[in-house]
Amino acid sequence: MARAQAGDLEAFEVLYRANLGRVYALCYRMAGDASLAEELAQDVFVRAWQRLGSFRGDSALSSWLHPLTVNVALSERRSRRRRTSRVMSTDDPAAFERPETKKAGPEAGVDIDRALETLPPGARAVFVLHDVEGYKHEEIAEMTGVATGTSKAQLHRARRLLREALDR
Amino acid sequence: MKCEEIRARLDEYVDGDLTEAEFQEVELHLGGCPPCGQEERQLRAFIAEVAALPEEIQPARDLWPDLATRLRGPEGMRLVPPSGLARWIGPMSVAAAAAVVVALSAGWWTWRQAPGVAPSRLPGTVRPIAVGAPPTELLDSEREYARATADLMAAIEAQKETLAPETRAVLDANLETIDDALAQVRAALRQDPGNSQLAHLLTSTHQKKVDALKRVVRLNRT
Repeated sequence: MARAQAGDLEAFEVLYRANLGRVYALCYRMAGDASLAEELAQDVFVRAWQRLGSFRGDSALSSWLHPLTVNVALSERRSRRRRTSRVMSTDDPAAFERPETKKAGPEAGVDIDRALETLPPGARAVFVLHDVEGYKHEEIAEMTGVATGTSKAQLHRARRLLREALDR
Repeated sequence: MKCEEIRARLDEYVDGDLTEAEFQEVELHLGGCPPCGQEERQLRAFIAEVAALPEEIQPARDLWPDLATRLRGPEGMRLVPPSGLARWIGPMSVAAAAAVVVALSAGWWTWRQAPGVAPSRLPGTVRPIAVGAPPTELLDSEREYARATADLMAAIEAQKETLAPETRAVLDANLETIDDALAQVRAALRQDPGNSQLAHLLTSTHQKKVDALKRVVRLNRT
Protein backbone atom coordinates (compact mmCIF):
# COMPACT_ATOMS: atom_id res chain seq x y z
CA MET A 1 0.00 0.00 0.00
CA ALA A 2 2.74 2.47 0.91
CA ARG A 3 4.43 1.87 -2.43
CA ALA A 4 1.17 2.38 -4.32
CA GLN A 5 0.50 5.56 -2.37
CA ALA A 6 3.96 6.76 -3.32
CA GLY A 7 3.07 6.34 -7.00
CA ASP A 8 4.32 2.82 -7.76
CA LEU A 9 2.06 1.54 -10.54
CA GLU A 10 3.17 -2.08 -10.13
CA ALA A 11 2.21 -2.00 -6.47
CA PHE A 12 -1.15 -0.52 -7.42
CA GLU A 13 -1.69 -3.34 -9.93
CA VAL A 14 -1.48 -5.83 -7.05
CA LEU A 15 -4.15 -3.91 -5.14
CA TYR A 16 -6.24 -3.63 -8.31
CA ARG A 17 -6.14 -7.38 -8.97
CA ALA A 18 -7.02 -8.18 -5.37
CA ASN A 19 -10.09 -5.93 -5.48
CA LEU A 20 -11.24 -6.08 -9.10
CA GLY A 21 -13.72 -8.93 -8.57
CA ARG A 22 -15.77 -7.04 -5.99
CA VAL A 23 -15.62 -3.73 -7.83
CA TYR A 24 -16.57 -5.28 -11.16
CA ALA A 25 -19.40 -7.32 -9.60
CA LEU A 26 -20.99 -4.19 -8.18
CA CYS A 27 -20.48 -2.23 -11.41
CA TYR A 28 -21.93 -5.04 -13.49
CA ARG A 29 -24.98 -5.46 -11.30
CA MET A 30 -25.61 -1.72 -11.10
CA ALA A 31 -25.08 -1.13 -14.83
CA GLY A 32 -26.71 -4.28 -16.13
CA ASP A 33 -24.24 -4.30 -18.99
CA ALA A 34 -20.85 -6.02 -19.13
CA SER A 35 -19.15 -3.48 -21.43
CA LEU A 36 -20.36 -0.52 -19.41
CA ALA A 37 -19.31 -2.31 -16.23
CA GLU A 38 -15.76 -2.62 -17.60
CA GLU A 39 -15.66 1.15 -18.19
CA LEU A 40 -17.08 1.86 -14.75
CA ALA A 41 -14.62 -0.49 -13.03
CA GLN A 42 -11.75 1.31 -14.76
CA ASP A 43 -13.19 4.66 -13.67
CA VAL A 44 -13.35 3.42 -10.09
CA PHE A 45 -9.68 2.46 -10.09
CA VAL A 46 -8.65 5.73 -11.76
CA ARG A 47 -10.42 7.61 -8.97
CA ALA A 48 -8.93 5.28 -6.38
CA TRP A 49 -5.44 5.96 -7.75
CA GLN A 50 -6.04 9.71 -7.69
CA ARG A 51 -7.28 9.61 -4.10
CA LEU A 52 -5.12 6.84 -2.69
CA GLY A 53 -3.28 9.39 -0.55
CA SER A 54 -6.44 9.86 1.51
CA PHE A 55 -6.66 6.15 2.37
CA ARG A 56 -5.52 5.89 5.99
CA GLY A 57 -5.74 2.14 6.42
CA ASP A 58 -8.39 2.40 9.15
CA SER A 59 -10.46 -0.11 7.20
CA ALA A 60 -9.84 -2.66 4.47
CA LEU A 61 -9.18 -1.22 1.03
CA SER A 62 -12.26 -3.07 -0.23
CA SER A 63 -14.41 -1.14 2.28
CA TRP A 64 -12.84 2.13 1.11
CA LEU A 65 -13.51 1.21 -2.52
CA HIS A 66 -17.15 0.25 -1.98
CA PRO A 67 -18.75 3.71 -1.64
CA LEU A 68 -16.45 4.96 -4.38
CA THR A 69 -17.81 2.25 -6.68
CA VAL A 70 -21.42 3.04 -5.78
CA ASN A 71 -20.80 6.74 -6.50
CA VAL A 72 -19.22 6.03 -9.87
CA ALA A 73 -22.08 3.74 -10.89
CA LEU A 74 -24.78 6.16 -9.73
CA SER A 75 -23.05 9.14 -11.36
CA GLU A 76 -22.97 7.30 -14.66
CA ARG A 77 -26.66 6.49 -14.34
CA ARG A 78 -27.49 10.12 -13.58
CA SER A 79 -25.50 11.42 -16.54
CA ARG A 80 -27.04 8.78 -18.82
CA ARG A 81 -30.49 9.84 -17.65
CA ARG A 82 -29.68 13.49 -18.37
CA ARG A 83 -28.49 12.57 -21.86
CA THR A 84 -31.64 10.57 -22.43
CA SER A 85 -33.89 13.33 -21.15
CA ARG A 86 -32.31 15.77 -23.61
CA VAL A 87 -33.16 13.45 -26.47
CA MET A 88 -36.57 12.26 -25.27
CA SER A 89 -38.92 15.14 -24.65
CA THR A 90 -41.48 13.97 -22.13
CA ASP A 91 -42.74 14.96 -18.73
CA ASP A 92 -43.25 11.36 -17.69
CA PRO A 93 -40.24 10.25 -15.63
CA ALA A 94 -41.48 6.68 -15.77
CA ALA A 95 -40.72 6.75 -19.49
CA PHE A 96 -37.03 6.46 -18.64
CA GLU A 97 -37.64 3.59 -16.26
CA ARG A 98 -39.30 1.18 -18.63
CA PRO A 99 -37.53 -2.11 -19.13
CA GLU A 100 -34.88 -2.20 -21.78
CA THR A 101 -35.67 -4.12 -24.93
CA LYS A 102 -33.20 -6.84 -24.03
CA LYS A 103 -34.99 -9.80 -22.50
CA ALA A 104 -33.61 -12.55 -20.33
CA GLY A 105 -32.73 -15.64 -22.28
CA PRO A 106 -33.66 -19.18 -21.26
CA GLU A 107 -30.54 -19.43 -19.09
CA ALA A 108 -31.85 -16.56 -16.94
CA GLY A 109 -33.97 -19.09 -15.06
CA VAL A 110 -30.86 -20.08 -13.15
CA ASP A 111 -28.96 -16.85 -13.35
CA ILE A 112 -30.02 -13.89 -11.25
CA ASP A 113 -27.17 -11.74 -12.51
CA ARG A 114 -28.22 -12.18 -16.11
CA ALA A 115 -31.84 -11.47 -15.21
CA LEU A 116 -30.74 -8.23 -13.55
CA GLU A 117 -29.79 -6.93 -16.99
CA THR A 118 -33.44 -6.88 -17.97
CA LEU A 119 -34.57 -4.63 -15.11
CA PRO A 120 -35.34 -0.93 -15.56
CA PRO A 121 -32.24 1.02 -14.44
CA GLY A 122 -33.87 2.69 -11.43
CA ALA A 123 -35.34 -0.51 -10.06
CA ARG A 124 -32.10 -2.38 -10.69
CA ALA A 125 -30.03 0.17 -8.77
CA VAL A 126 -32.34 0.07 -5.74
CA PHE A 127 -32.54 -3.73 -5.83
CA VAL A 128 -28.77 -4.15 -5.96
CA LEU A 129 -28.14 -1.61 -3.23
CA HIS A 130 -30.82 -3.03 -0.92
CA ASP A 131 -31.00 -6.77 -1.49
CA VAL A 132 -27.45 -7.48 -2.66
CA GLU A 133 -25.41 -4.83 -0.85
CA GLY A 134 -27.57 -4.44 2.25
CA TYR A 135 -28.18 -0.67 2.24
CA LYS A 136 -31.28 0.70 3.97
CA HIS A 137 -33.93 2.61 2.06
CA GLU A 138 -33.01 5.83 3.85
CA GLU A 139 -29.40 5.45 2.70
CA ILE A 140 -30.47 4.61 -0.84
CA ALA A 141 -32.79 7.61 -0.93
CA GLU A 142 -29.92 9.86 0.10
CA MET A 143 -27.54 8.37 -2.46
CA THR A 144 -29.94 8.34 -5.39
CA GLY A 145 -31.95 11.47 -4.61
CA VAL A 146 -35.33 9.71 -4.63
CA ALA A 147 -37.88 9.58 -1.80
CA THR A 148 -37.77 6.63 0.60
CA GLY A 149 -41.21 5.55 -0.60
CA THR A 150 -39.99 5.56 -4.19
CA SER A 151 -37.03 3.43 -3.19
CA LYS A 152 -39.35 0.88 -1.59
CA ALA A 153 -41.66 0.85 -4.59
CA GLN A 154 -38.70 0.32 -6.93
CA LEU A 155 -37.46 -2.55 -4.80
CA HIS A 156 -40.80 -4.33 -4.79
CA ARG A 157 -41.12 -3.83 -8.52
CA ALA A 158 -37.64 -5.19 -9.14
CA ARG A 159 -38.29 -8.29 -7.04
CA ARG A 160 -41.55 -8.94 -8.87
CA LEU A 161 -39.98 -8.53 -12.31
CA LEU A 162 -37.01 -10.71 -11.40
CA ARG A 163 -39.11 -13.47 -9.91
CA GLU A 164 -41.28 -13.43 -13.02
CA ALA A 165 -38.23 -13.60 -15.27
CA LEU A 166 -36.68 -16.38 -13.20
CA ASP A 167 -39.98 -18.15 -12.53
CA ARG A 168 -39.35 -18.24 -8.78
CA MET B 1 -57.85 -8.50 3.83
CA LYS B 2 -58.17 -10.48 0.63
CA CYS B 3 -55.33 -12.62 -0.73
CA GLU B 4 -54.60 -10.03 -3.41
CA GLU B 5 -54.15 -7.29 -0.81
CA ILE B 6 -52.02 -9.54 1.38
CA ARG B 7 -49.70 -10.40 -1.51
CA ALA B 8 -49.32 -6.72 -2.36
CA ARG B 9 -47.97 -6.20 1.16
CA LEU B 10 -45.70 -9.24 1.37
CA ASP B 11 -42.55 -7.28 0.51
CA GLU B 12 -43.19 -4.84 3.32
CA TYR B 13 -44.06 -7.76 5.61
CA VAL B 14 -40.78 -9.60 5.04
CA ASP B 15 -38.79 -6.34 5.17
CA GLY B 16 -40.38 -5.38 8.51
CA ASP B 17 -41.86 -2.17 7.09
CA LEU B 18 -45.43 -2.69 8.35
CA THR B 19 -46.95 -1.25 11.50
CA GLU B 20 -47.55 -3.71 14.31
CA ALA B 21 -51.28 -3.86 13.53
CA GLU B 22 -50.68 -4.44 9.82
CA PHE B 23 -48.03 -7.03 10.58
CA GLN B 24 -50.42 -8.96 12.83
CA GLU B 25 -53.13 -8.84 10.19
CA VAL B 26 -50.87 -10.23 7.46
CA GLU B 27 -49.43 -12.86 9.77
CA LEU B 28 -52.87 -14.04 10.78
CA HIS B 29 -53.86 -14.39 7.12
CA LEU B 30 -50.67 -16.27 6.19
CA GLY B 31 -51.26 -18.76 9.00
CA GLY B 32 -54.63 -19.71 7.55
CA CYS B 33 -54.01 -19.41 3.81
CA PRO B 34 -51.65 -22.04 2.33
CA PRO B 35 -51.30 -20.35 -1.13
CA CYS B 36 -50.33 -17.01 0.44
CA GLY B 37 -48.06 -18.83 2.92
CA GLN B 38 -46.37 -20.53 -0.01
CA GLU B 39 -45.94 -17.15 -1.74
CA GLU B 40 -44.32 -15.72 1.39
CA ARG B 41 -41.87 -18.65 1.64
CA GLN B 42 -40.91 -18.28 -2.03
CA LEU B 43 -40.29 -14.56 -1.60
CA ARG B 44 -38.11 -15.17 1.45
CA ALA B 45 -36.18 -17.89 -0.40
CA PHE B 46 -35.61 -15.55 -3.34
CA ILE B 47 -34.33 -12.74 -1.10
CA ALA B 48 -32.00 -15.19 0.66
CA GLU B 49 -30.72 -16.43 -2.70
CA VAL B 50 -29.97 -12.87 -3.83
CA ALA B 51 -28.19 -12.07 -0.57
CA ALA B 52 -25.97 -15.09 -1.17
CA LEU B 53 -24.87 -14.03 -4.66
CA PRO B 54 -21.10 -14.24 -5.13
CA GLU B 55 -19.29 -11.11 -3.97
CA GLU B 56 -16.89 -11.27 -6.88
CA ILE B 57 -17.27 -11.45 -10.64
CA GLN B 58 -14.30 -11.23 -12.97
CA PRO B 59 -14.62 -9.30 -16.25
CA ALA B 60 -14.33 -11.24 -19.49
CA ARG B 61 -11.08 -9.48 -20.43
CA ASP B 62 -8.03 -8.09 -18.70
CA LEU B 63 -8.75 -4.42 -17.97
CA TRP B 64 -5.29 -3.63 -16.60
CA PRO B 65 -3.53 -2.66 -19.88
CA ASP B 66 -6.14 0.01 -20.66
CA LEU B 67 -6.25 1.14 -17.04
CA ALA B 68 -2.47 1.38 -16.80
CA THR B 69 -2.41 3.53 -19.94
CA ARG B 70 -4.93 5.90 -18.36
CA LEU B 71 -2.96 6.04 -15.12
CA ARG B 72 0.23 6.93 -16.98
CA GLY B 73 -1.57 9.84 -18.66
CA PRO B 74 -3.04 13.06 -17.24
CA GLU B 75 -5.76 11.11 -15.41
CA GLY B 76 -3.04 9.47 -13.35
CA MET B 77 -2.30 12.63 -11.41
CA ARG B 78 -2.90 12.41 -7.71
CA LEU B 79 -5.57 14.80 -6.45
CA VAL B 80 -5.68 16.63 -3.14
CA PRO B 81 -7.94 14.60 -0.84
CA PRO B 82 -10.93 16.72 0.20
CA SER B 83 -10.84 15.31 3.72
CA GLY B 84 -7.57 17.11 4.34
CA LEU B 85 -7.35 20.46 2.63
CA ALA B 86 -11.08 21.10 2.51
CA ARG B 87 -11.22 21.68 6.25
CA TRP B 88 -8.40 24.15 5.92
CA ILE B 89 -8.89 26.16 2.76
CA GLY B 90 -12.37 25.21 1.59
CA PRO B 91 -13.66 23.10 -1.28
CA MET B 92 -13.29 25.73 -4.01
CA SER B 93 -9.68 26.23 -3.09
CA VAL B 94 -9.06 22.51 -3.09
CA ALA B 95 -10.39 22.38 -6.62
CA ALA B 96 -8.17 25.27 -7.61
CA ALA B 97 -5.12 23.73 -5.99
CA ALA B 98 -5.87 20.40 -7.61
CA ALA B 99 -6.21 22.14 -10.97
CA VAL B 100 -2.78 23.68 -10.51
CA VAL B 101 -1.22 20.30 -9.84
CA VAL B 102 -3.10 18.67 -12.70
CA ALA B 103 -2.19 21.45 -15.11
CA LEU B 104 1.43 21.27 -14.09
CA SER B 105 1.54 17.54 -14.49
CA ALA B 106 -0.32 17.63 -17.79
CA GLY B 107 2.38 19.98 -19.09
CA TRP B 108 5.09 17.66 -17.89
CA TRP B 109 3.33 14.61 -19.29
CA THR B 110 2.75 16.32 -22.63
CA TRP B 111 6.44 17.13 -22.85
CA ARG B 112 7.38 13.56 -21.92
CA GLN B 113 5.09 12.17 -24.62
CA ALA B 114 6.21 14.60 -27.32
CA PRO B 115 9.53 16.20 -26.42
CA GLY B 116 9.67 18.02 -29.74
CA VAL B 117 6.59 20.03 -28.90
CA ALA B 118 6.89 22.94 -26.52
CA PRO B 119 4.26 23.12 -23.77
CA SER B 120 1.86 26.01 -24.01
CA ARG B 121 3.07 29.29 -22.57
CA LEU B 122 2.06 29.82 -18.97
CA PRO B 123 1.46 33.23 -17.45
CA GLY B 124 4.06 34.18 -14.91
CA THR B 125 5.59 36.71 -12.64
CA VAL B 126 8.78 34.72 -12.39
CA ARG B 127 10.67 35.97 -15.40
CA PRO B 128 10.19 33.55 -18.30
CA ILE B 129 13.22 32.36 -20.19
CA ALA B 130 13.29 33.27 -23.84
CA VAL B 131 13.78 30.46 -26.31
CA GLY B 132 17.48 30.13 -26.93
CA ALA B 133 18.39 32.13 -23.82
CA PRO B 134 21.92 31.72 -22.44
CA PRO B 135 22.44 29.55 -19.32
CA THR B 136 23.01 32.63 -17.12
CA GLU B 137 19.36 33.61 -17.55
CA LEU B 138 18.39 30.15 -16.44
CA LEU B 139 20.50 30.52 -13.32
CA ASP B 140 18.88 33.87 -12.57
CA SER B 141 15.47 32.30 -12.94
CA GLU B 142 16.44 29.49 -10.56
CA ARG B 143 17.62 32.03 -7.95
CA GLU B 144 14.48 34.13 -8.35
CA TYR B 145 12.34 31.05 -7.96
CA ALA B 146 14.27 29.83 -4.92
CA ARG B 147 13.83 33.20 -3.21
CA ALA B 148 10.09 33.39 -3.91
CA THR B 149 9.57 29.80 -2.82
CA ALA B 150 11.56 30.29 0.39
CA ASP B 151 9.50 33.36 1.34
CA LEU B 152 6.24 31.54 0.74
CA MET B 153 7.34 28.40 2.56
CA ALA B 154 8.34 30.58 5.53
CA ALA B 155 4.86 32.08 5.54
CA ILE B 156 3.32 28.61 5.48
CA GLU B 157 5.62 27.42 8.25
CA ALA B 158 4.46 30.39 10.35
CA GLN B 159 0.88 29.23 9.89
CA LYS B 160 1.78 25.63 10.59
CA GLU B 161 0.02 25.59 13.95
CA THR B 162 -3.32 26.01 12.21
CA LEU B 163 -2.80 22.94 10.05
CA ALA B 164 -4.09 19.48 10.94
CA PRO B 165 -1.29 16.89 10.63
CA GLU B 166 -3.06 15.11 7.79
CA THR B 167 -3.54 18.44 6.00
CA ARG B 168 0.14 19.14 6.31
CA ALA B 169 0.85 15.67 4.94
CA VAL B 170 -1.38 16.34 1.94
CA LEU B 171 0.32 19.65 1.27
CA ASP B 172 3.74 18.05 1.56
CA ALA B 173 2.74 15.23 -0.78
CA ASN B 174 1.58 17.69 -3.43
CA LEU B 175 4.68 19.82 -3.12
CA GLU B 176 6.68 16.65 -3.48
CA THR B 177 4.90 15.94 -6.77
CA ILE B 178 5.83 19.38 -8.07
CA ASP B 179 9.40 19.04 -6.82
CA ASP B 180 9.68 15.66 -8.55
CA ALA B 181 8.64 17.27 -11.81
CA LEU B 182 11.18 20.06 -11.28
CA ALA B 183 13.91 17.53 -10.53
CA GLN B 184 13.16 15.65 -13.71
CA VAL B 185 13.25 18.80 -15.81
CA ARG B 186 16.58 19.78 -14.22
CA ALA B 187 17.99 16.32 -14.87
CA ALA B 188 16.88 16.52 -18.49
CA LEU B 189 18.51 19.95 -18.77
CA ARG B 190 21.76 18.57 -17.44
CA GLN B 191 21.69 16.04 -20.28
CA ASP B 192 20.68 18.64 -22.85
CA PRO B 193 21.68 22.12 -21.55
CA GLY B 194 20.88 23.89 -24.79
CA ASN B 195 17.28 22.68 -25.02
CA SER B 196 15.25 25.88 -24.93
CA GLN B 197 11.96 24.04 -24.57
CA LEU B 198 13.20 22.40 -21.40
CA ALA B 199 14.35 25.75 -20.09
CA HIS B 200 10.93 27.18 -20.75
CA LEU B 201 9.29 24.22 -19.02
CA LEU B 202 11.51 24.75 -16.00
CA THR B 203 10.46 28.37 -15.55
CA SER B 204 6.84 27.48 -16.15
CA THR B 205 7.06 24.78 -13.49
CA HIS B 206 8.74 27.19 -11.10
CA GLN B 207 5.90 29.61 -11.61
CA LYS B 208 3.30 26.94 -10.99
CA LYS B 209 4.84 26.06 -7.66
CA VAL B 210 5.05 29.71 -6.65
CA ASP B 211 1.43 30.27 -7.69
CA ALA B 212 0.27 27.22 -5.73
CA LEU B 213 2.13 28.33 -2.61
CA LYS B 214 0.81 31.87 -2.93
CA ARG B 215 -2.70 30.57 -3.16
CA VAL B 216 -2.27 28.43 -0.06
CA VAL B 217 -0.85 31.35 1.95
CA ARG B 218 -3.55 33.75 0.77
CA LEU B 219 -6.40 31.35 1.45
CA ASN B 220 -5.14 30.42 4.87
CA ARG B 221 -5.17 34.07 5.84
CA THR B 222 -8.77 34.66 4.78
